[in-house]
Amino acid sequence: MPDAATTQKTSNVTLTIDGRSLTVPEGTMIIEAAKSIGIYIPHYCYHPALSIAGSCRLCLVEIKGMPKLQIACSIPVKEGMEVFTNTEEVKDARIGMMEFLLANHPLDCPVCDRGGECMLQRFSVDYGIAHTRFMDQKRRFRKPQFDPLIDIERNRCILCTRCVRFCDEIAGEHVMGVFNRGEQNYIGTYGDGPVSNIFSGNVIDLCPVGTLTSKPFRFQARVWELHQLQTTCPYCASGCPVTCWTRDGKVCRTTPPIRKDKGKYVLDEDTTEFICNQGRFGLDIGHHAERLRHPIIRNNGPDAPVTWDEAIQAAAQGLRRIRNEHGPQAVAFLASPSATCEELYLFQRLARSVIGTNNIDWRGHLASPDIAAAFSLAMSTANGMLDDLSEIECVLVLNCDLLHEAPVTALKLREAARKANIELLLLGHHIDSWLATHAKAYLQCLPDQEHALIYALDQAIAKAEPEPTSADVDTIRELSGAGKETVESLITSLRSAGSGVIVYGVSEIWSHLASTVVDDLVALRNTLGPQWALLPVNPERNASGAFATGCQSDRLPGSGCDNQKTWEKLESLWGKVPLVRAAGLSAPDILEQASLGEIKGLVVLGSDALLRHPKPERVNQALKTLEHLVVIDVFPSSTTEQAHVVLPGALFTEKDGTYIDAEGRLARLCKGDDPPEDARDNWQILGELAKALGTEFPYQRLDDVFAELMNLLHPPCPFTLEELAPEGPGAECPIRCITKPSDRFHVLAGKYHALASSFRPTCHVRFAELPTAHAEEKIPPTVESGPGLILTWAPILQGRDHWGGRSPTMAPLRPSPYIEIHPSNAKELAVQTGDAVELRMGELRLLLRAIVCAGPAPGTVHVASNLVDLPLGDYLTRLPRVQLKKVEGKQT
Amino acid sequence: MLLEFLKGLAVTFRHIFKPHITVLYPEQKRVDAPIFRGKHKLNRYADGQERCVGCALCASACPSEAIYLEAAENTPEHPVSPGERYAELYQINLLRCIFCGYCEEACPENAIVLGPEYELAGTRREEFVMNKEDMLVKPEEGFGEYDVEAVHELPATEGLP
Ligand code: SF4
Ligand code: SF4
Ligand code: SF4
Ligand code: SF4
Ligand code: FES
Repeated sequence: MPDAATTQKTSNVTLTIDGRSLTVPEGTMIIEAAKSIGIYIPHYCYHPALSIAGSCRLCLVEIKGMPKLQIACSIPVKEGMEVFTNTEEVKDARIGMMEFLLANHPLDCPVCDRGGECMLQRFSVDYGIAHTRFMDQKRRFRKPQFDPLIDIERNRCILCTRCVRFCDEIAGEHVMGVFNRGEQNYIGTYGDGPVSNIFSGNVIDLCPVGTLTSKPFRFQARVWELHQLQTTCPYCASGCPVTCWTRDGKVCRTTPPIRKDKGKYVLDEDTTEFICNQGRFGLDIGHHAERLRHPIIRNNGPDAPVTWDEAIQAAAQGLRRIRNEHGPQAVAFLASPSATCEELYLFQRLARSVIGTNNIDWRGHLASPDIAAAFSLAMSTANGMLDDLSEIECVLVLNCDLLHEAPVTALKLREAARKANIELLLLGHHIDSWLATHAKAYLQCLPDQEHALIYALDQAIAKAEPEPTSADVDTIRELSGAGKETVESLITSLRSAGSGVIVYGVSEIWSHLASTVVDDLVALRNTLGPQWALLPVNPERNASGAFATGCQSDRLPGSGCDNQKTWEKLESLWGKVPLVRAAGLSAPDILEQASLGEIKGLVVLGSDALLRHPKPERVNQALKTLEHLVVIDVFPSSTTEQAHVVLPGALFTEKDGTYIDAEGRLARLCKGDDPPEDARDNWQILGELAKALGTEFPYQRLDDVFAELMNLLHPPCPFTLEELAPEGPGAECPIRCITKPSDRFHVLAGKYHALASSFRPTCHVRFAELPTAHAEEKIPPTVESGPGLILTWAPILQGRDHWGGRSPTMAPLRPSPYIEIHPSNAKELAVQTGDAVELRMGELRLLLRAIVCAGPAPGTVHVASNLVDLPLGDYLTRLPRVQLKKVEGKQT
Repeated sequence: MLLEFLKGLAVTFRHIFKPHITVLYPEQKRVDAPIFRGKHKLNRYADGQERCVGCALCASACPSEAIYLEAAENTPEHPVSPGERYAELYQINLLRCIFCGYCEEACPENAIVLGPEYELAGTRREEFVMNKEDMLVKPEEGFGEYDVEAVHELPATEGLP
């Protein structure tokens, strides 16, 4: 952490504002100081997350001893300063400024989507004059083509440049700008293109007026007609709290959490919580035409809808028959990592206590047991949090395209690095090129060198000498091709940081290599010291929840499956049948056994994981062989097609529950609508299934499930589900802050860490006996030999198809298949960003859009696996090499 | 006793010869006051375009929540109203409406007015939910005091993009 910032923050100054004395840290701007004692100074261009522009002049205040009024947003406080925010002179100045702003303003509030939450309207009420003195024709712009998601009405713009600064500073894309001079000033994008970054939707909230408005929300409703549903985003493991603004249960728009103003919830245009476009625009799928609405029983005939009773009986009957004829081990359960914790808990209870099998897992998207083992290792060593970045000095990101997997986590890291609060280091065969611009150093290597590189780093850091030895530096340079300074600065940063987090992407580790890399990282973490933590990033929203609730073959709620105490506890809780105290089959094994005919019955709770399996034909083969397949889902899929019984469930806006994100935060999902037609809430479906199988669950309400689950985690969570709701009785309860994140960082940290650690054993205990000597020779070559570039891949958030891809807004914006190429390779191929390139892989030919960036290591290329149509499932143990050729004359 | 009886009859006979206030509805109809507040009308411009821009201010002003509307965007091919926005669905539930006239007062476009029509009987509840077709004035009826041309999109200022 830079010393200057620390010392600056420690000294305080005392001043008076409107006669009230207060003490704030030195360097605070007057506007923020006033806010801290509840004095609101009107402003447009000031935003706490952006740099200061000082252009709107609405925040003028009087400071004793200064001859003229000053702008409160850019004057830092001084000892003994006396500030007045509401004298006659100040009011006069504001009235004058408002008159300037309104001179050219069209004032078409009735047709403006900002009406009702517009800062210009608000201050016009306070400082506007009733009639205009501006007699000339108002300036008028034509409406340009702008962005598929953002509508622009330039006549309303007050040129505060919030949008420009957001794109430049936070989204890191210099795409918006102010054009022309004087009265002809206007906002636009360079080259008149769209605002293409994935945080672009935030400029809609930031714009204080109705210039930039949401296209999907355009004219859907007036904001005062909407109900605010405070909930959490279901799409990725960043776990952003969001507010869904609904009309008759239909989600009209989604924004970051709202603020309470005079007893009413309103949009917070000064929010510092930003969300990505997937969360902002992708939540409109509740009323989708393709939803499953009726239970279906398939007896080799047409899918006539049946009653719930019939469907549940049919589902239970099949399972009972298989259990009686072939034993409970012939039945398996696959859950989706997008289900809530309560559903997952009930699901595994159904498996373990009602059917009597431990064949339960959530990792249906993994191709081999080796990878599943790596996942287990990664999850059980996870203990990192990025919540309080002021307590962390260094973050090392390995092989993770965070921007495309957990965008808001990436945004937080980049912000912290940009403001020099943390040192950001990147490592691996694929780094996030968006983060790289603010990284202190980054090292890239070929995928098969990764293990050696981490090991070498580990060795270099473990040495006692203060300076890294030249032998170590040389080894690392050889592996990574990086310069001496880069290597040295990376090592020095790692060694000198008092605390840090290693973030790594689990979707970019393959096969046997996976376990090794996770091992290496655990070892590196241990070398770095107890102040370092590991944070694997699963792109799935509730992967941590599935792990914590025991919805995994080798886990129980709150502990590993080798913990006899937990077994005893579960037996006394669930009663009746003694449980089989052993690990079950992991998802890849379940599929394997199913295609061999050993597993005959399968219950699937949400098929999205299975749909992401790299070898769909293997999944289909397994499902086809099953005697009885029961699927609970919201949308039809290739899995529901094969199901014998389909039970329509509820989507995220239609159910209550909790999710746990990558960092272990528990967030409340709130219900704002009923499931369509016959569809039901999933936890009720599971309850009925259990009842039909002969064991009635003892829960009256979902709160009981939550309470039971939380009691199995240590220490038990002190709150009820109801208290977690934003409007619940536990208004002061800290976890509630998850849905109101403004105070999340401070209130939450202590308690939350306790909760998080309950299912995250520190890796010290469990992995103390890990072999420290890394057996390099044991690792087989993992890259195809021969000429060509090595192909690596990972899924991206925008490529999701089961839910997110169905959003009428986001589906058309799915990126076209692209390939990332390192600049050095691009130069050899004479390829530039936007060129069409032909990829050749064996017999296969594929046309892709080239993106030249620093993401892939030299010698490798990277694709988003859920955008391209390549048989990547065939390359789980050996990465393929591909040939690229520029296709002349084609631009994509 | 007889005297009282005659006194009473005198009152009766006096009133028999006074002009009567009731009318023989439905054969005869009353003349309304000019500000009578009856069934709503949605006005048009002289070129037939609707005045309503779907701003929903009437709905928010309505104390009995009788108005429901959904707005949509005009297309250049078939503009319904001048400007960008129009009411795609506009419903007033006359069973809820208390004929206070607040919607008329709230309307920035003089689009909704309460007309003279009071014959609102019906046999089913649904009949009392007025849609746009039920309220829009017919072009052949003329537009009265609202007979003005719509102000269409102003041209962009010279020299601006
Ligand atoms: S930006 Fe604000 S003041 Fe301007 S038309 Fe829209 S709502 Fe009215
Ligand atoms: S478009 Fe909005 S945010 Fe951007 S400068 Fe204009 S008023 Fe400000
Ligand atoms: S970053 Fe993830 S959790 Fe946050 S809004 Fe985007 S998809 Fe949702
Ligand atoms: S009738 Fe008037 S107030 Fe109501 S939506 Fe139309 S324009 Fe707005
Ligand atoms: S907020 Fe201070 S000048 Fe705009």
